[in-house]
Amino acid sequence: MSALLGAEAQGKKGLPLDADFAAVSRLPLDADFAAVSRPSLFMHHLNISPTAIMHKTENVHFRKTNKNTVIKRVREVYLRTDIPCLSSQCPMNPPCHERVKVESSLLTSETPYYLIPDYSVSLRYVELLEQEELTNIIFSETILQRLQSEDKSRTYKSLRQVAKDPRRRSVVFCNEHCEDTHVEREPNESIEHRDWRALLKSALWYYSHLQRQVPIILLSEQFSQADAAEYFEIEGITVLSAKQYLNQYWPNNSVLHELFDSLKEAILEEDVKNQTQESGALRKSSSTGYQEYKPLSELEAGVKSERFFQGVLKVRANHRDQAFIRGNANIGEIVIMGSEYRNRAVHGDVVVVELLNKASWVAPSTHISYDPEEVHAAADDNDEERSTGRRHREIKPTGRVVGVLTRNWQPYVATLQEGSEKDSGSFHLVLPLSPIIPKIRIRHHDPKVLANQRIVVRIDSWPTNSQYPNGHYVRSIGPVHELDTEISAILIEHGISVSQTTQGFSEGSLKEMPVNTDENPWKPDSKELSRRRDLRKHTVFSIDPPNCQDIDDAISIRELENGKIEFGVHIADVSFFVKENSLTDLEARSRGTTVYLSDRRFDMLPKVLSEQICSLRHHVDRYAMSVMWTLDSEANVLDSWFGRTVIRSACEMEYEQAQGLLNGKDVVPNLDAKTCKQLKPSVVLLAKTMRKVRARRMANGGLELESSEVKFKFKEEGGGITDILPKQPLEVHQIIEEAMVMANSHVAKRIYTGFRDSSMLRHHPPPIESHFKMLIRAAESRGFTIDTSSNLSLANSLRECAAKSQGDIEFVRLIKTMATMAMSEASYMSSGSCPVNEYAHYGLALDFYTHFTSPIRRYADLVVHRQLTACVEGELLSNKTTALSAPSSTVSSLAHSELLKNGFKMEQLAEHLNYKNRESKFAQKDSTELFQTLFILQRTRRQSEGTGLGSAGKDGDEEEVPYVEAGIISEIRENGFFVFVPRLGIKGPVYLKEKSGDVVVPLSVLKSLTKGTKDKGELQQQSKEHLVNVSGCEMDTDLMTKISISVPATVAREYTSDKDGGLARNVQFRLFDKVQVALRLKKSLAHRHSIYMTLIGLEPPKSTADGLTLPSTNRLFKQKGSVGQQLKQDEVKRIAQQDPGLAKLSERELIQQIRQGQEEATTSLKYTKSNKKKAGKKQPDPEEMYSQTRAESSLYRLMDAFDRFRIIESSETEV
Amino acid sequence: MSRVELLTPEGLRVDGRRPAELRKITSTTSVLSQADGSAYIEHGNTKVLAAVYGPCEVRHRALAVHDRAIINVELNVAPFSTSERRRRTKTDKRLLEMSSFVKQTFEAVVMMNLYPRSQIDVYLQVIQHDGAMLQACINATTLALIDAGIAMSDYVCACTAGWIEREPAIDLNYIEESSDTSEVTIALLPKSGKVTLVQMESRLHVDKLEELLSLARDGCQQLYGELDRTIRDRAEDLAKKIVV
Repeated sequence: MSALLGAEAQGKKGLPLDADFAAVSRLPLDADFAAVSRPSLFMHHLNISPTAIMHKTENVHFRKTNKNTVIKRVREVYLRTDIPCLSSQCPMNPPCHERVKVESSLLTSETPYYLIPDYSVSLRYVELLEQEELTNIIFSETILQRLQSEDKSRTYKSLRQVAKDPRRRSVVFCNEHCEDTHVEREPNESIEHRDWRALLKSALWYYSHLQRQVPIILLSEQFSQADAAEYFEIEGITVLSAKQYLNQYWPNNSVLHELFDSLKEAILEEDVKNQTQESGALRKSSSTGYQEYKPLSELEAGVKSERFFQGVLKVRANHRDQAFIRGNANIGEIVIMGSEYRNRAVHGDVVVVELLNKASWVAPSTHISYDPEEVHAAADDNDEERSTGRRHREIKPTGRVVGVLTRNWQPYVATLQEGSEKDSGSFHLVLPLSPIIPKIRIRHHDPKVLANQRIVVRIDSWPTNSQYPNGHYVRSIGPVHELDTEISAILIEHGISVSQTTQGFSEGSLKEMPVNTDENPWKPDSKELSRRRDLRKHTVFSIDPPNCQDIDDAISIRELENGKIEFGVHIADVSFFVKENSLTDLEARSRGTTVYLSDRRFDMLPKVLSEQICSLRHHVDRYAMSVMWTLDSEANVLDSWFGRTVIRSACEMEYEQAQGLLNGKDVVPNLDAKTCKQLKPSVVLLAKTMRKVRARRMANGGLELESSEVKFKFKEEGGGITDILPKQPLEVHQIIEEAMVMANSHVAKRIYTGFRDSSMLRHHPPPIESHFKMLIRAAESRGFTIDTSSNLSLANSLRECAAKSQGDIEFVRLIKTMATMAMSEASYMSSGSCPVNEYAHYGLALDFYTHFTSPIRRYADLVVHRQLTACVEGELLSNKTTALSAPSSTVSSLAHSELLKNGFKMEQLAEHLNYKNRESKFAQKDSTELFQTLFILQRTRRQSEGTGLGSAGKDGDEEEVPYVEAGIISEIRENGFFVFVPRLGIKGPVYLKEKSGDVVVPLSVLKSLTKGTKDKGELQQQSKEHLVNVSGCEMDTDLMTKISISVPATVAREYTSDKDGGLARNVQFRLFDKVQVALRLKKSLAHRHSIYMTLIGLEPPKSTADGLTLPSTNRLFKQKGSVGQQLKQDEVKRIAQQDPGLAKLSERELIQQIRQGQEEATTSLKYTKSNKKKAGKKQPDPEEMYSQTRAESSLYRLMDAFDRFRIIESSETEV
Repeated sequence: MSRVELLTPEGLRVDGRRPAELRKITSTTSVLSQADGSAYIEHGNTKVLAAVYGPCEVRHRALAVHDRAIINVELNVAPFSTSERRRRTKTDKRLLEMSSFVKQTFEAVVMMNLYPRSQIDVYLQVIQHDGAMLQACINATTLALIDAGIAMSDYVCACTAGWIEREPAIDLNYIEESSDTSEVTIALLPKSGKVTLVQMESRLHVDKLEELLSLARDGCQQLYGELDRTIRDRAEDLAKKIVV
């Protein structure tokens, strides 16, 4: 027994005795609760940190509860000795961060000092700390905890983000739990002073820990050097205010200084008091109708018990007064009407909503809002809005916001309210560019500077007694409506490049790039060549849009002797050049994707890689990642091989050239005969094979969907847009797309076998049935039924529609677009994060899919490349040892990065990439819209020449020349409808009811319905008729399908000289009716100009007796001699010619379809050729007009490479 | 009010521990002179006093079992044990449930056939409650039973473990417990490695249970070291007194 005890005693050696032990034995009941702190020592016996000695103290504070009682909170605090300094200059051996498991970036020796901001600086100047220039920042736990306890979660998150970003070399130091730096609050000491002391102590600790090598700069607005000296001897520590710091260390950085100045003027919580006093005078009543949010605990309990509902608040883009959240499955969508019920929540916030009682439930209004200003105004007087909203329509659950869980406040682009610059006083309202964001009150000393500028603002707070949120000015982007301003506004709104400094690549990442200059061109390394499969003997070619610089895919195909086909897809080997976690990699990861705007692009990778070394140019050796298949004659995959290769492309073909070869031409423009001869068999074989593959996929339910894409033609100089052209698909597009889809899906399967839990896949969930309601009803109105039960049945019924619609191309397009809109969004995911049956891709009808083929412009592809490399290398290794071991086990045996295997991190990365993708798509959409409005602006102004900028009045200028186009009604609303103009890809509203509630119809519409032919005199007169509005009509809407207007006889008589009143008494607009519209711009200062349309004429549906006449407006249109001239007549024909993809939809047999499509394309070419000869200049050859080869500007080629609205994979052509 | 961050990215919990660390344990035995055995244990700020009376004759004849003893556990939580005073009645269902957990745990360990027709009373008083109450109660009972000299086949060490913000952690405190964590309490016989109690009231994915259990088991082993030392210290102390 004694031996045993002895052993025990030895085990205890080195144990500090429990200081409290004696006291404890006197216990139990005199436990000293009142003690503010009771340090005691004990040692921890843990396997991870056997030496960690922890002190226990207690943190005691008093709190008031909801019941107004005061309670005492006691929390334990354990002080540790193992808190690492996280500096690469740590003198300890081993460095202290290696002794504990911690994931953090490390402080470096890049700067000669470390920065420690205090609470006042972190709160007020977060944006400053977010600037990339400032590195090596130590965030103390003290300020982070205080930010959390004072509910500054946004600031907290920003700081955390900075600490997380490895490029910033910034860390979080847990000083509150570090034994050496823990500070107790002394009696009568204010929190500020205690925190200040804590910071000083941490600074001192760092200074002495790093052996006095690194001086520390403490940033504080509250305290000075003298305040620091009060407590400690402060050797090596400098206390500076933010201003002093900037002056001293960044004297020439204007960005930082500007930012500092604007932040200085920001409104902070402490200012709120005097600010509300000021604004109280401005507003009539102090009651804003807002309510305090309920406490978090109540919200959480409420959500759990389904008394409340939680969701992301979305504001309707065209009705700022309406917002909604998606509640749970039982309740569906919950509508929130009016700003009072929205209760200070902003679009994107995660909110908790309480349902109102059923009596006050309303139906969301479905009318088209008139203009963005009105939308903003509507928020101010929501009573009126609500009364109009309450109609006999479908009533939806309605609720009000009772709490906000997470704010989603971002930097917003805004404009000073008109007239506000004349006001004295420092508070001003700004109107955000996006109408879904409320006006923001900012403080600025000189509003004149801000007038007519787009500025960036941030929201800081929104107290209950304030109608609008408080924010601050960050910086100015430039004058309103200037192209550069508007484009940077788009970028900022979508978070693509918030900081001006990040647009370029950092020096560090450029240094990592291989050298490729004219004198010293990059050459493959011979060692590396020996490791790769040499495919330089194969005929490899790429097919891309003209002038494509970043070629990331190439193809090779050849027939083997035994009748089999060897088919290869070769993708630029970006992962070879961009090593994981290198600076370039981190930068690319944060960018996520290359962003293509209508006239420019923002690269994901530096130009050296994207345009030179990685780009698979012809006649040079390039590294590639290849997928090689052996196919049988029916295009079934017999064998596949993945791996790194080296290739030498024979030719950079353009789509038109390839199509030419495919169509049987022997020589195509810009290619010499020899190359043509070499490539032609390959192209033909490729087409033959891919048609089979595609037919098989279509038979499985792959969808062919439609989107309206347009591209812009720019003037060579002067920056004007000469035309908007719809993008025209060629068969080659489909062929290349099919090859890429094939490569992607095979790679997806391969990486899934290697990384079960963490492969980067792309899935497309099946659509939600209810989203098809609109599509089904729309099709019904034309007598079609659509079966949406599966992707196959949907594809079949769409084909049916196309077949039976008798060549009504626009209708087919619109139906397909509607189907596209109903789809859910395809997204990246990590295979570990959802069950296997959710991996499938609905649109493509594939079980596995990923993105592999565009690593130059998408980061996801780069990850997939790395995973594939890991799989392949793992396989090679295992082949050497045991032929049949599972690849997954060998992968793990390789030293691969944590990221590729970590399912959780992969999931986070997928989320990030999804977000970036979505934002870049929105930015693309916005920029297209911007250019569309610019185009309309030019068009409507051209003839009225000489109108100066901005001289045009508010709307509907008489001197403006209407720009008339043919359109099709795409959506019926309560007070009008949306018209889609296929030629321009523009969808715009047509109002039939004015703001005042008057229903109006242009006279020309009425006339065109009754009158047949008109003589010339009448025509002259008629040119004005579309401007004459017949008011006092009555309107009846059958939502979604038709809208009818009846003109009372009394009214009709006023407008006509004929005795019989040559006017139709009844006009009906049905969905998919074709109309003539004039496109106009609604000008606005605070927002982008918006396009709206006025009705000019109605084109009678084909089925009705067409004996009457052509719509008179058609002639009117001709007289004007505007550009659109022959378009109307030729519209249908033209689309049919240029779009074999559409024309062939009428066929059922799939393979036959493709062949026929090819024939059609050939004939159309012949046709247009002959047409060209006949028509000469007057009737430009459509092929020529819309040809992609005729890019007028080098910027313009970019547009080709990118698909605009495409949400779904099937349309994601991997060009 | 913002949500408390239960686990910082630096890997520290609210009170500065790392996920696999226990709180400070203070324990002693024979704190009450009246009782046959007694013990006091602190897990951080969770403080429990246990008193054992018996084995003695059963109070109600009808309850007596002819070949073994019965264990009777009464658990009482002081109104001042949490920061807001709350008086609990004796018939509080939660408390009754918890005392039955304690009872069942020990029925398997106490060699009850040595004490036929008798009764062992365990009175537990929670003085301060800062999470992991059941764990503290079981550990206190173990010490008190040993102190009373009642024959047991092994120590019983209990430890909670829970999943906080994607990481498994042991010995949860009140803040961690009350913010929706999936929590498991296990009681382990450290020498044989057998588990006598697993209690969980929330949902947890099956895949994660294994990890949690093994972590809790490690925690129990650590606890065993602490409890055993207390007992041995006490025994040494007594031995010295005998010699003198």
